[in-house]
Amino acid sequence: MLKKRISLLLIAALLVFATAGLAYAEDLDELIAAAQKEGKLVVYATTSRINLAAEAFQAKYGIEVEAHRLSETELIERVYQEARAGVNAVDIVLIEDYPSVKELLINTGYLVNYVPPVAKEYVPAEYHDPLVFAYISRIIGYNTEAFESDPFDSIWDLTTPEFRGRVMIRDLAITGEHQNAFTELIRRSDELEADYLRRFGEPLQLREENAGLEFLRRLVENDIILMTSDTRIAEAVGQKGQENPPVGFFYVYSKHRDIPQKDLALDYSSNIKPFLGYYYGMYIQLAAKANNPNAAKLFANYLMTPEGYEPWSSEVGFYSMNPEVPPYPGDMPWEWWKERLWTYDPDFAIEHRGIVLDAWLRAVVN
Amino acid sequence: MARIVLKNITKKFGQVTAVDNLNLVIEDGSFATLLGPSGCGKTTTLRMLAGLEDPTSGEIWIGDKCVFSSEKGHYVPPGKREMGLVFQSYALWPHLNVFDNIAFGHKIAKRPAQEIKEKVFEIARVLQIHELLDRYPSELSGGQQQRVAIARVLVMKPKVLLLDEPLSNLDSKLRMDMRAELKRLHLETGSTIVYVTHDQLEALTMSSHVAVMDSGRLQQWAPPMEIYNAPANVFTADFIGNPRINLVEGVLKAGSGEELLIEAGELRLPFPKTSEAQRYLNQKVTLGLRAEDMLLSKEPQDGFFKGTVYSVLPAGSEWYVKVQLGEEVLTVTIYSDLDLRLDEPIWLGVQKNKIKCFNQNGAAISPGVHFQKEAASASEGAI
Amino acid sequence: MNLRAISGKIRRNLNPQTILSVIFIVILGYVVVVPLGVMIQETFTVHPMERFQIPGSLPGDFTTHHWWRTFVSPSAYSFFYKPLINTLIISTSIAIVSLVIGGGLAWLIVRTDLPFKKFLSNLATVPYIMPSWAMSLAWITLFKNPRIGGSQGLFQYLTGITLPDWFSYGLFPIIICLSLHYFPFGFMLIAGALRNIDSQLEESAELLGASRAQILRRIVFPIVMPVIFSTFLLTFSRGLGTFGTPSFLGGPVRTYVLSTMLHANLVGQRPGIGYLVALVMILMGALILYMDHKMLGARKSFVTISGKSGRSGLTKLGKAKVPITIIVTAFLLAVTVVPFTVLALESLMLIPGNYSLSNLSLHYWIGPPSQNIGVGSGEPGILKNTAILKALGNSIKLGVVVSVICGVAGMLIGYTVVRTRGTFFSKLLDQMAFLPYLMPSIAFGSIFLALFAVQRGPIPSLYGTFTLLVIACVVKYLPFSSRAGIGAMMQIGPELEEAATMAGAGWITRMRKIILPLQKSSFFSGLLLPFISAMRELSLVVLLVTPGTQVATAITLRYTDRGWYPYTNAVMVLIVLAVLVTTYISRKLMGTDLAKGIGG
Repeated sequence: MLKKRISLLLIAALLVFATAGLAYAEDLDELIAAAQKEGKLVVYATTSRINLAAEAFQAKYGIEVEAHRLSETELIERVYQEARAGVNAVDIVLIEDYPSVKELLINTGYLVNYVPPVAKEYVPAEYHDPLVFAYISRIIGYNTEAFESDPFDSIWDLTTPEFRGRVMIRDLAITGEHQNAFTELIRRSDELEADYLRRFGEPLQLREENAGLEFLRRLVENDIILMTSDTRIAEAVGQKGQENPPVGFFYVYSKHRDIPQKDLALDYSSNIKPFLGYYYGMYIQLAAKANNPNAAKLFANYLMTPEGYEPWSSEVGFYSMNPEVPPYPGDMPWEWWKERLWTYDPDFAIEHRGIVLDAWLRAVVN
Repeated sequence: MARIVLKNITKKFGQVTAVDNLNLVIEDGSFATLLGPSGCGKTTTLRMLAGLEDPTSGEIWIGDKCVFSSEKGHYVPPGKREMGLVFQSYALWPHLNVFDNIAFGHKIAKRPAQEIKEKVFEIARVLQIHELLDRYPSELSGGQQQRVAIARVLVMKPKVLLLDEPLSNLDSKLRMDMRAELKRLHLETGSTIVYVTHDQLEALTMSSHVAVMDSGRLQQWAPPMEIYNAPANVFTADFIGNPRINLVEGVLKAGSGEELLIEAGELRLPFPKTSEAQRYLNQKVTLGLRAEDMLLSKEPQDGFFKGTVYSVLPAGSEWYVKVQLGEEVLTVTIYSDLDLRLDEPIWLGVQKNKIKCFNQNGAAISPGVHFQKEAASASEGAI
Repeated sequence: MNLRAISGKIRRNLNPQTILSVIFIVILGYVVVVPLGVMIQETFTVHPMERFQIPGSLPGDFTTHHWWRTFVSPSAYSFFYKPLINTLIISTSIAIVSLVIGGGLAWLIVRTDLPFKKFLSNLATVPYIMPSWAMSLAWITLFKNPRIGGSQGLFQYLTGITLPDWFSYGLFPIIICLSLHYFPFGFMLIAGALRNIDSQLEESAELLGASRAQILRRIVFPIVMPVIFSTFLLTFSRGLGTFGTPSFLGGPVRTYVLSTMLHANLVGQRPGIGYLVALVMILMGALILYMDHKMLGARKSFVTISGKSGRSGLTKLGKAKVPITIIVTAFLLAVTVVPFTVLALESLMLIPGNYSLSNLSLHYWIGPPSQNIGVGSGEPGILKNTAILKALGNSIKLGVVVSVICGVAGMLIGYTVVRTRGTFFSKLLDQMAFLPYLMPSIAFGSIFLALFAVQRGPIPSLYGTFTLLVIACVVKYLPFSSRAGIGAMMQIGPELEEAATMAGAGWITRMRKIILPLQKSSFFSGLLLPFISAMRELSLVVLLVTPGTQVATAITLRYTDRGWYPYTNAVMVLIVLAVLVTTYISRKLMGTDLAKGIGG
């Protein structure tokens, strides 16, 4: 009796797995068929490598793709205006600055989330909604010629006279993700305060409401250098032959791929506390009223596969949440980074961004 | 028929009244001149005739057609009134040569090329500019430009020719020649001409009728000699005539017998006792004496007044002598040399039938038909 | 008045200029006044990203919070007043410096016996053709100090001197770079005015015993005054809205200006705050415009070219001639050739920052896509890049279409304004046609997008169309064309047109045969500036281009954002060359003169 039950269960389980696999296969085939019946797929993305992915997708499935690269703010503005105008131009987007997107496009119903089959199969559920295409990291870097070893102990070091007028950051006023990140510094102020105590042996004197804003203010007051691009920060920091090179705060790690080409003496700090930097997500979202919903879904699926992710695999500092995608050679694994990088809570971020921006503007102008 | 009628024409520019209730009838074929100082409204009137300005109210008739009526809403736009306008600045198109300037009107009316050529050559010959047809306006002299401007208008054979101070940009010798030319042209073409000028000599020499205007109002509308001999008011009397008429303030008194007496300064002069004149008895009047209507004598004479020679200006065929008579200085024109010396005593006589008298509002007090006829025949004899 | 009288009056007044003025006022009302109204309305509205700082509010609510925050809140100094002070300092300084440089050059070239006049005056108009950030890029390349890290600035490399921060960054270089970019305005306008001064005016003063200085003060100055004001107005307004240069040169020393605030707020989706800043900028511009009009009076004193101005008024430079010639030539070459060379050089350097000869390469121009050469972008050289070439084609198309429409519209507006001179409509049209000049591009673009994205009444949605780009650019550059048109029309006396009317010519015939031929040279000049501007335009089009209507300037952003500056610079070099060639050809063929293009 029991044997029969067990075997029945086994058969049932087998069937479930088989159908699940079959279901995946079936879903995918249906999807492909439906997608190929549709028209040209239009995708907006904040990454220009989307063009390469689009070409490959087109070659693979024979579906025409029109890919366009826009900045985060442009993309938001564009989708927002299109949706309001009733123009259904885009089918699928790859976005950054999730809090803004959520507030302006998702909460309003213009964009919807979609979990493609390959994600269901391979990607852990926590990365499904919103669908994570990749996480991007920003780190704190220094010139390895001038500093034989990691010069940092605490982020509060950057507010000391030693680094006065030598810290570079991309202007928060034009960098939405910085504003998001700093809300995390507000949210986890106590950790910042604790690290200050650890570093200097005395409690932090607050002029601002919390340690996060205090840090922001002191960073600026320490004669911070505002730049308009992370590329220029990386070049400025890593250029060889400098007597007193600056250090880069919160610039995109992917700039390190230029190190051999541009002959830079650049490395990130792995010692600085309480975080090495922050990471934010690039997410895939579908247009609610897409003209080619199935093609969009197929493309989403494609991007989540190792094959689809290929154009980005040569980027250091880009992390796919699909374990099948091989990591960047020579880089620490994502788990290592995840422990050491901070990220922000979207809802908290959207509520407190304005405070960060205002605090920034106040500090900078004075 | 190109008889022009202006009926109650008023033109206001904002608060400023440029033309005030003008009524005028210009007969077909006449040479009418609008004469007056700058700002009197003559150019505005001309432009209203042309259609380039619209009257604020009133009517304009050309022939039997109403080309403008503010009340009835009639309107014929400029360019369709069969009129030609010669601008003071000539307004020749600098990018077209003389031929093309003249031919413009016919060209846009799509006349055949041969016909245009003939017409242009014909008018160019008449105005003696046929050798200039290839040139551009900037290469022409003032007189030549003016003739091109006239040719441009005449070639269209308009019913009415409007001319806006066409001679004011020319030197005086050329002006004299052109006046004669224009008068000939008038007779040859037989068109109605309306001519605007501030030069009273031009008005006198060329027109069949003159409209004297001041501050938008018509002062007098009459043939030139009538305006000269019987000016309707002080303004007209003062405006016409060279040298300017002598005006002396005085009083009209009862005289002895059949005549009234004008007491003005040291002058005591008779004036016909008409019923009109009697209305102004004992009131202030202005005495008007033309310089050429007075006589000078070195010897005292009956009815002459004693004065002193103030200045003598010999002018070739005549002398302008200023005579001090009491408080007044009168200008007298004499035609033979009296060999006068300054401050010399001199006796001044007045041709009684040439005396002009104006009431205290400036309007002429008519000396009566008898007087006028005498004056008219006297002046006719003078020409 | 009875009915017939009224209908008669209406019929009579239905002439082309009245109809045109009504049409233009309606159109301009929609594309200029409505955006303005929208902006004002938005400053009283809560927007999604703003609601968190206005407790209890919902998007769409009415609020006075933005106004409070900007003008009277405790942080108003940081948010508004300090940037305002910086902006005023910059704008005023630019205007003054441009006047001094432009006016000085104008006087030297028109009124003295300086040699090489033609060459120098051509050179003097080039700085405007190049993008304004080319100058700031050149500055940084030359004068940066170690504060900003990276490779050495050229000056330091050559002399070993470390320049102070206030020299390399901040207000000083911002003012210099922008002045050097805008002085051509002053030069062209003042040169035009000086050229038109009837020499008889000066000669008679000389005969009366007036000294040179007195003549300058009493004769030349008053005539040139209106033009000085125009220059001030044009350059001051430009200084207000400019974003790129202050951002690039001001960032390293934390100099914020109003446009930075505008940009930050608009980009951060806080339009309520952003538009308020934009409104302040517009108001300041409008104030200057008002003063400009007061100074000019009824603009009756526009001197026509009567061909009377002789060369007899040339001042001899004497011993100073050679040194002055050298200085002027060197200066002009410096401000034109240097930035261009820096741009070109950066596009030819394989590895950025490496100035050695072996590093020069045409890879970014004609090289194949590669992950290993240069910055390893995987992009083909721009001359082989179909997307770039297509975008360049679009840019040229945009330039041509915009300039033609602007030219025609400007001429018609000029006709209308001058023929109805003195009336309310004339003044209104004149002002409205100039208003777009005062509006900062980024705010303008954003509102335009909102205005035309949806169908409104009979106007369909123009979203993503080339037409939208054209409309936006036409409205933005109309001020140039309308000024040119007005200037040109003023020189054609009304009698020239009246004579044609009397000859029986209808309006179209008059335009065709009289007005247009007489304006030919001015018309083509009026085309140049819109063409140049449209080719160079970035901040206005960035929001309006869609992938299908991509233009060259916007497409460079894909490179700028990735840090692949050589490509950006190569494209800019192409654009500049295209503009230079066009300007040169048009000057040769049609005798165009940039000065006439701005009403000089």
